[in-house]
Amino acid sequence: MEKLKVDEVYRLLSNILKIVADYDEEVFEATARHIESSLKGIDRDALLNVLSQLIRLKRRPIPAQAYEPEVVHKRDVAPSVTLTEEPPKGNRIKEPIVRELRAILEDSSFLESKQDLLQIIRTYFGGNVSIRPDNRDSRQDLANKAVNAFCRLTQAEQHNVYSSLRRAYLKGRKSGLGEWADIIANRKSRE
Amino acid sequence: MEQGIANYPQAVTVVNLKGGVGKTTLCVNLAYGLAFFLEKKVLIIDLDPQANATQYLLSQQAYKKLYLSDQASKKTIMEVYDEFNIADRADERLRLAEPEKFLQRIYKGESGYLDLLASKLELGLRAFEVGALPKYDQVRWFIENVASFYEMVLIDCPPTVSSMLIAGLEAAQSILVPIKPDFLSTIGLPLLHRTITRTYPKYIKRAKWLGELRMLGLVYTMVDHRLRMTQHSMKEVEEEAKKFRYPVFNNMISYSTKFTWSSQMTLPIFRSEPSSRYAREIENLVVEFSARVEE
Repeated sequence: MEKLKVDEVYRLLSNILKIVADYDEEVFEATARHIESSLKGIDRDALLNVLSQLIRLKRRPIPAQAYEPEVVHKRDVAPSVTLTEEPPKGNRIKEPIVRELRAILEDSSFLESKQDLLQIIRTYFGGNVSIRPDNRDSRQDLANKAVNAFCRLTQAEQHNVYSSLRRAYLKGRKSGLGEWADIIANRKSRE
Repeated sequence: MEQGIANYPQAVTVVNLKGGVGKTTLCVNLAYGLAFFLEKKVLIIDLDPQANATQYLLSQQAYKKLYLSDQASKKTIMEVYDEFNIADRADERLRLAEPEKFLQRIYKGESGYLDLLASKLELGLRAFEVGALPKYDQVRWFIENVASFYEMVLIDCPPTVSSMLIAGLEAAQSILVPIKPDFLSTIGLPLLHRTITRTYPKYIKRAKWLGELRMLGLVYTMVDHRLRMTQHSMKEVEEEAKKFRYPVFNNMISYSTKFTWSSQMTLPIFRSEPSSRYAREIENLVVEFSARVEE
């Protein structure tokens, strides 16, 4: 019986937290004003107390994005080896993705010409990247602009752009034994 | 007296006289990782006639286009040897003409990059050349000519005592030894120790300005923690390493078929599988390696 009651109370508290997530702070403040004006005594004090904590919960910093399944462990290094680790810039989890995105955009075996890179930018970032007229942006400039535009996207948009680009990037990358065997044996191409 | 150059980069030869220990995989992922994670300017030299490092980093189409076609624009380590023979005939050794032709950009980051000096199968035939006295400073000469482009050079050596291995030792300040913790692989360690402490100094006159060859350390590769043999082998290796005063890296590389897949995609593991624990292992190793090199 006691367990059932504990479960019930726990469920009620979970529902309250859900309300905190779903409603704006203004709603809680309006509720507090209503309680102040319509209730008296211990009930008024208790409810206002609870509401003030809920408002506090509402104002807490946005929690970090969900971590990837493999958590980065502290590096296990011998005391004699001194490491200087730079503090993570911005979102630590996004860093590998941004690095990989830059590597894809700068890979001339994938985007052979500046035009290819421009095409990618227009397709994925549209008007969010300002291109200098008369082809004055260098390849590196374009890649930097694309990466900056990527960082300004929402998480869902980033996921779509990254997945799509990466799929295209990995599509053509598969070495095979056959062609390497031809090279080693100095045979004519099988094509 | 031979004078070195002031900006000679940190050159590390990756070597083990036992084949199949993950030497090329380690060399490639480490070199790439230095550029990718730490934005270093890195050159990887494929000194192995099997050209596995080259095959890891370039697709067959790219290799054909760059090195073999009628419009081939790049040259391999083989041509370095050819150019050296010409340069060495002069009274004062000549500089390498057009060094950029030997360097293929593999990766470009914000400020760091990785370039490759590719290998060729015919490199192994050099061992059979007769006539002139053998020379072993071709690779060092090449690095001197491109020194201003790089902070670090990693040299992937063949797993045999050969003129290429000696050239790799002649060019480097330190050596890194990948070691797979199984019985047969660990026997390569005393063999390597004998080669670098007795054979090499006996026959080769190392350039004084390069300093003594330093053992950077042993890195465990292809580690399968499930096996009891792994722990047993590691213990034996550490006992031998203590006798030889060889440091052992704290970070190690686990065994995984994902490395094989990554080599087929011509990408390092941290780009083919960026979320994997193997990517983290390489990143950690890169940091430890960089710290040890700068000690």
